[in-house]
Amino acid sequence: MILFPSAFAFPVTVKDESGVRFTALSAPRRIISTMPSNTEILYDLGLGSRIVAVSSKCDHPPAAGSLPKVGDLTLNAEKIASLNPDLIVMLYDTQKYQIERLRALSLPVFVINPRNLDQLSESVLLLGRVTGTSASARSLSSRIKRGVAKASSAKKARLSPKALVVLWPSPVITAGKNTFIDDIVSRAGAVNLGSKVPGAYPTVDFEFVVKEDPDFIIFAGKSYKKMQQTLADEKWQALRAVREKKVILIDSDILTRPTPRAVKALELISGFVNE
Amino acid sequence: MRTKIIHVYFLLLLLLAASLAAGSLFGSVAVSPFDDSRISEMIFWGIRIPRVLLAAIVGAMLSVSGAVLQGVLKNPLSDPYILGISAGGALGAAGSIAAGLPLFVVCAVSFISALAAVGMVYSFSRTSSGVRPEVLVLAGVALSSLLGAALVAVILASDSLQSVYFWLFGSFSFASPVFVKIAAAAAAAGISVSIFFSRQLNILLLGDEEAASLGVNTSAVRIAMLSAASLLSAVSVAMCGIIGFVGLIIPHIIRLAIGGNNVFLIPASGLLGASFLVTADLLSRTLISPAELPVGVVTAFIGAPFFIYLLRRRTDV
Repeated sequence: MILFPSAFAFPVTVKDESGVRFTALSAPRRIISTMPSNTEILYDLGLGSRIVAVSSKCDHPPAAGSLPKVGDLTLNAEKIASLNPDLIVMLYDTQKYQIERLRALSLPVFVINPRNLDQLSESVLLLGRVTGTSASARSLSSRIKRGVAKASSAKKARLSPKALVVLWPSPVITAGKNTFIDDIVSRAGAVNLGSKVPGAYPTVDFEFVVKEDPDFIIFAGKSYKKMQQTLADEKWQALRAVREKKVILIDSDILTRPTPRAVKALELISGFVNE
Repeated sequence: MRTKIIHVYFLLLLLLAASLAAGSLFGSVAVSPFDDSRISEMIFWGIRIPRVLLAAIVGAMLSVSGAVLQGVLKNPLSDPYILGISAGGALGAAGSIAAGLPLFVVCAVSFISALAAVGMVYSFSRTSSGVRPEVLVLAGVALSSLLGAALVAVILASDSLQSVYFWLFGSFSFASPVFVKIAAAAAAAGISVSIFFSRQLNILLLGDEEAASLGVNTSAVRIAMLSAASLLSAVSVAMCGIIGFVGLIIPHIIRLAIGGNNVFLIPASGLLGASFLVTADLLSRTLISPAELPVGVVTAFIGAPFFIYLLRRRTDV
């Protein structure tokens, strides 16, 4: 039994998910996280006390909200440099040009890019290696895999029901093919209606929604009351799923962020679709 | 008048020096150029100075471009983007962002498509008797709407609004020493051509026949001035997106102060534009620090009320 495994893990060189090699000479102690999802993963790995700053959108766990902020859409390079970070965890798909900019300043950028639940457990392992928390990363990763396997096995062997994800009700904005949400919905055993529409987060005509008449509606949001107000509308009442009350409200943060909490979203949707 | 012009120029140089100093010394993080720690050095020389210099150069480029276009097109509403530069540049940037290209390629494509847009506007408005300014303006407006619609389609299809955002509202956050060098070269070329032809531009305003009888090659002057203005705006759009207001208003402020003689108007617009944009960028990165306001929002917020005030004061007298 090794007493301090992290001490032996360094220096470590890891290829990140933008294809760039990153070398950590010792376990990072001054971490900056520029995305809410990455912040959640870092806390899950027990690294909360080593995070020195986060983005202004980072709100979970609540402790993250009180850390110093380095901007959101535009990151403040001066502020980031002044905090002397030894690891800046970023997300490829939404921060490509910010990543380029910070790398040009030789800042220690490490990029992950989980686009679905399988990739999420890989990204967790990668973050574990570069932060010297491989043991926690392995257990977190297998917890994600177990949760996903369990929720997916609930899938009934009948024709897959059609589900509409509502990210925004008016006009309806939904999640398209190959998005993180698409992955969750299809693993839950439903056909994501948005995958029939081109684009990542397409705006769809309500006529399309009426014509497809989904079996289930997954409403992303935080307020039950707001959802009820939307659904009371005549237009929405025309839908079978609304009349039969086959509508579920899922906290948009757990549905849209690639984090371990997304497993909870998968469980909820799977339970709802397969009941 | 001459002493007044000297006074105004002196004031403009003072203003530029003050804004450059303020822009370099203040920011979201307190650093001093005399602090030689590795981090302070990186923040000051690696991040802040390139940004301040780029803001100054772009401010000068946009204001000179606006002053030149207002003269060539004989239209006080002309700004650096009136000939389709912003729409072309933004569409090129959005397309290459959607294709996942690296930053410098995005800038290059944005620059080329901005110039392509002006080229199209120019070719639409050429007649046997040369280019007619009013047709140029209308063709520019029409092509801008068309390209603007294409831009929306590209953004929707690729879900790239977050990345295109920088081009749509303007930001100096991508400033780097390389950007500063390229911008400085383009500014030197475009501004010298504009100053070189400024006297002929004055004569052009008397009307084509009058100008021709005074020995001015009207179409050559027009083409040289349009090319210079287009180069200046296309480079700034490619590097920091669309920054409204500066190119439209700065030349008018100078006109209120020293009149419409292009020989004095064009360089003075460049000086004031540089100070103005350095100050606007300083506010954009400090007002809601550590977050950033788009610099275009700041230019309009402080510039528009100030300009209305000047306009009112002028008409009251």
